[in-house]
Parts: sequence; C-alpha cells; structure tokens
Amino acid sequence: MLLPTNRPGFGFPRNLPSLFDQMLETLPRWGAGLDGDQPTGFPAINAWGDEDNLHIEAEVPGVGIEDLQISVLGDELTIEGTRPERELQGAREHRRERRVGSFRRVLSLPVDVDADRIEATLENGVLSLLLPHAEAARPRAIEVRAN
Amino acid sequence: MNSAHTQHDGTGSITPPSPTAPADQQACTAPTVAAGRRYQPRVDLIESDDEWLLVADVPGATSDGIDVRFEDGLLTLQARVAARSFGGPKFARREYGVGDFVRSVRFGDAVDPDGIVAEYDRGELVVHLPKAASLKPRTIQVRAG
Repeated sequence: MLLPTNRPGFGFPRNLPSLFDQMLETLPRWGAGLDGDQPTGFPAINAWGDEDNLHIEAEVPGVGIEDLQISVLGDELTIEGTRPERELQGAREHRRERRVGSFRRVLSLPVDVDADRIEATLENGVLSLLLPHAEAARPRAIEVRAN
Repeated sequence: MNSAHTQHDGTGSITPPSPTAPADQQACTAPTVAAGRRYQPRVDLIESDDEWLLVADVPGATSDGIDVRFEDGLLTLQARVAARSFGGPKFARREYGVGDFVRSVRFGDAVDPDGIVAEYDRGELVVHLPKAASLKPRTIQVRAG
C-alpha cells in the first residue's frame, strides 16, 4: 500500500523554499527596460551603431541555433524562434519567471544594411548580430578638385 | 509566449502571479548601467516527488564563471559575466545591462546537500536539489496480521 507522507498540511512546510530577492543590492530582471521607457519583449535587445555597422545583441538563454530564425526585409530585422519548455511529469511549479515558447521581435533599422553580409553568432545564450551598412548608406569622402 | 510571471514584493517570499500586473509593464527604477552592477536572474522553481529543480537564466556567463553554494540551508547562485563593449556611450536601444547574476533561495533542511548537482548550457543554469530523505514519499510495508 502506498501512503504519501508529503501532502500539504502533513508536516511539510509548504512555504519552503523562499527566494531572497532583496539581498545584495541586485537589480531584478523583470523585463522592464533599463531606461524605464523601453519595456521589452523577449528577447531583450541592445543595439548600437558605428561608422560601418549596426550591432544588435539579444539575450536568448536556452535557445539553440536550430531554434532561431533571423531575417531582414526592407528596413526591418526580425528575430524569431522557440524557447523549449522544460517539462517534468507530475511536478509542482512554485515560481515561473523564465519566458518560454515562441517569440518574435521586429526592429526597424535606421540605415540600409547589406543583408548578404550579416554575421550572427550565438554564444552562452547571447545572440550577436553585425549588420554592415549598405554601400549607399556609407559616408563617403567627396573629393574636391581645385580648378 | 508563456507570460507567466511572479511578482516582486521585496520581502523575499514567493507571491503568486498576478494577472493584472504583468512584469513587462512594471516600472524599473534602475537608472543607467554602471560597471559592476549585479542582476537577479529570472528563475523557475519546480518541485517533483524526489527533488527541487531550480533553473536560472544567466545569459553571457561561462561555465567556469559559475559558483553554486549551499550553506546553512541557503542556496546561492553566482554567475560572472564578462564586461563587453557596446561601442560607445549612446545606445540606439538598451533593454538590459550586463553584469554578474546573483540570487539566493532558502531551502532550509528540505534538501540533501550532498546530492546537489548543477549543470550549465547555453546561458541556462540548472540546479537539481534532491529532497531530504524525510520529505520523500515512501512506501509503508503493510504486514499481514
């Protein structure tokens, strides 16, 4: 005969374990933008540019290269994919902060990029994209000839 | 997209998810990113008959920069994240800061400290904490009289 002894109210403190969120002056990662005015979807994105390239970085922990599609159409970059869910049979969930399932983010690019030369790397859950400016979008020095 | 979130009440206790206040819309009071900032990773905490499973998102960490400690019933995860350059002070878009991840969970005497195992892959840290023997379901032998 099976007699479960860990039922709620059967001697096991149900409020265990507890998460110490307030300690160590750490900042929560609840998905709000760091500037407060850029609430994020998944994945969170940092983007910047230099003279020759746009750089875009996204946090995609747990996502494999096979689960990720990156495409550029016109001036829009799309990052989409699926983050697998960890399934445990008969398990009880106490805390679910991680976001799983399919995701899609579309970013407007401020300059034309050369879609054929985009480089993407995925390392330790961080996706890095390097998007070279299209030739037409590059600043170029105009030679001024003396008469 | 699973948008399950739990709310942050500042007391360290677990509060149930609130359907009215998705975390995405909560204001974040953090100002700008400074060097040496530390962040709380998002975590899932799942309980099965035999163990607790703690999964933390620590993107950017490497396995040799991860430290998992269990001391006096308190599990502490630390994941070092190397600083990386973002090419200048002006961001076109900035949705996250880069810094080490730190978070603690109190398990008390609910786990068997000797059996704790952690694994890291692709920015996810998974910690298996076997339940203390006294908390596992057990079969009681019934003898015929």
